[in-house]
Amino acid sequence: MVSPATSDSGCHEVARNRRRWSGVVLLILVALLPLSPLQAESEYAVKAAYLYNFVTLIKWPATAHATSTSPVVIGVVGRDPFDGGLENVLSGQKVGSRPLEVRHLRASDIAGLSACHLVFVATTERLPVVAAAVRGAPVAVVGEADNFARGGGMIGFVMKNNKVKLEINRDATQQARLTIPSDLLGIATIVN
Amino acid sequence: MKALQDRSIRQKITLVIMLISGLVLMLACVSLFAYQAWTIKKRFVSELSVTAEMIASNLAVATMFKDEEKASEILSGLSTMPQIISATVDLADGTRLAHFGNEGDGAGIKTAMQDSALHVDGNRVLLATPVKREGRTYGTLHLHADFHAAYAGLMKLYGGMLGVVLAGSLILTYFLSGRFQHMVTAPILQLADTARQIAEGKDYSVRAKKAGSDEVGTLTDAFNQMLAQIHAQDTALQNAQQKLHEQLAALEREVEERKAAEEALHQSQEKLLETSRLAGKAEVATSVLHNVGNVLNSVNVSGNILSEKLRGSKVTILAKAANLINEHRANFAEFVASDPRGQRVPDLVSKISSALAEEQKELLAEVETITSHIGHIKQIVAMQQSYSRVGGVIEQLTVEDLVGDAIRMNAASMARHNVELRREYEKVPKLQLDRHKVLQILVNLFSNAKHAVDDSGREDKRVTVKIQNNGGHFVKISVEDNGVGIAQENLARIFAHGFTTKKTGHGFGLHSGALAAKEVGGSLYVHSDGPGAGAIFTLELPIVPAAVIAAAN
Repeated sequence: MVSPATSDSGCHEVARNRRRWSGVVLLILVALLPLSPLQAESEYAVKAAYLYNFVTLIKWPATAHATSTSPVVIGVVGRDPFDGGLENVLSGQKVGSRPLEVRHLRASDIAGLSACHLVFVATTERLPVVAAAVRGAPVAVVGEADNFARGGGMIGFVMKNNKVKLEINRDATQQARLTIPSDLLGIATIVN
Repeated sequence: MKALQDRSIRQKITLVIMLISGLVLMLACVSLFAYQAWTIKKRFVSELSVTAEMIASNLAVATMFKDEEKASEILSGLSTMPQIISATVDLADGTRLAHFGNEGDGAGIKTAMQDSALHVDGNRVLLATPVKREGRTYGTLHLHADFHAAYAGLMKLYGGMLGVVLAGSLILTYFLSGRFQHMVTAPILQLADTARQIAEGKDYSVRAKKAGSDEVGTLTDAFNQMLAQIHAQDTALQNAQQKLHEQLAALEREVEERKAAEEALHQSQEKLLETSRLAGKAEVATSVLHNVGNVLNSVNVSGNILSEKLRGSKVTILAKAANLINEHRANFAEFVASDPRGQRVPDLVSKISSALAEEQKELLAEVETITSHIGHIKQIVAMQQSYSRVGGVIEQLTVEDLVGDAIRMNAASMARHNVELRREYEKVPKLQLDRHKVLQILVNLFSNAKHAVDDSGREDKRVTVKIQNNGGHFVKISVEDNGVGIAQENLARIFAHGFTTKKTGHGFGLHSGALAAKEVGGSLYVHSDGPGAGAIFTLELPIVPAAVIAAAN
């Protein structure tokens, strides 16, 4: 559990408690997952797992990593739709020899965004801002807004028949010097 | 197996070659087949795992993103492999992502796959392959394959091929064996043929041809050697047979001759026996006549005495006196009273009467002597008559009587020659014997003894006859004399036919005596210490007769 920085406000206290309870519920749900059908799985649990899949599949240019053991950083921009579930899914996981790190960022934090390998843009944020912030940097921009990939994002989650599908903008990924494996492209819808 | 034994060598060799080739080929084919089957199965399995790896790799992203359509699409690619019955992709949490093929198969596969990644059950292979990406497992691919059809097809192909190869090889073997076995069988068959020729023709001069110097060659050599030996032996046998025939004929002839000789011998023996019997009879008769002669001599002497006496009888004086009386018949009284001559008449008559009385006495004595001699002759003749009965009659004999008879037959001549006879008799049982034969022997023995003592010229002529009981089985009668004795060299042949030391002897006596002794089951033997030392002849007679002994045995 990654806690935010210390806070004094009671309102924050309540919100944190609520989030904690949601996390517990999510955990129970995740625990029940093997017995439940795919459709019943929480959308964001799936999406969190997919984010992990992305960081394992996508090849970043060598410049994206400081050292061979520097962490792979996943940034969540805007209101966290995973409600802490991302940290649950990713904590302790590694990609090769690299640990995973989840950061919560603002869209205005250009340096922070550029330091990420993958940013998940919540629907609360405006894509063009984030896209502009990471333009030129090897950062995979993932989002769930409608026409996310088409609208300047790179990988968009699309709900289709209650299932999470992918849309990939190859131009954008190529501009970011990201290598997407062909089989990943094979299961995604390619958009420009 | 019996049927096989009677087959020809050619057939046997063919059969053996076929059998061995067939077996070897079969073994080779079966092992090849087994190896092929094993390889095919292994290849199937390895092909299957390669396929599984490939599919699992292809499935990785679809599994990562739980893309059922993509996963199904990839799995449907397996339809090109007919041996794959079903395929299932399960997520790490066990949820099924996609399935291909037989729908009811999934659960069965999972149970079978619990402990190993590969499960082979006959032609059925279950294979579990992890679906991995970047070192992380996202799910499992289960493949269920059945190689039966493919396997059976391949096996049928291989089997057919092997069958064809086997059949082809056997046919080839058959033809080749037919060609090559000739090399082996030809010399043997030739040898067998030679052997048959010899067996049929009995011609041992035939020789087998040697084809090479292998074992059959050695056999042929040995065969020929054996033939040579047989030939030699056969010839020798024939010669020997011929010789044998000749010898047999000679032997038969010899047997014939021997038979004839035997017959002649038998006849001469018969004759001899007859002669000896006659000789014996003659001896007895001689002895009788001798005795009778002796007595007649005495009778003659008595007759002469009687004649002398009668010639010198006083009857003439009586006639003179009678004449005188007749002359003086008228005056006889005067004559007697006055004449001196007449006065002597009464005296004369008295003298004559006493002389005649004396004479009568003498004559009577002499007549008595003659009568006694005639009685003796009668006795001798009667005895001879008693012995002259037919021989061979067995009687109960009292040995003393028998010996007494024999002595009596010689008594006169013994007495005349002043031979002293001693008798030493033991008590012996009666014997069952042919009286005539025994008497004949004894008479001869006594006669010989008398001659022996007579010829010695000594004063004290003595013959001792002993009767002894010899051990309960025999009676010994020995006639011992102190006469001339017998030289050592004559002892051995004294019983031989024709041997005699007497001037008047004919050599029959002892010979026939010995024969007779044998005939009655006894024996006759002699002992002498040499010339001048006398001799002892001993006759042994069985107490139990020979016939009884023979019957008892």
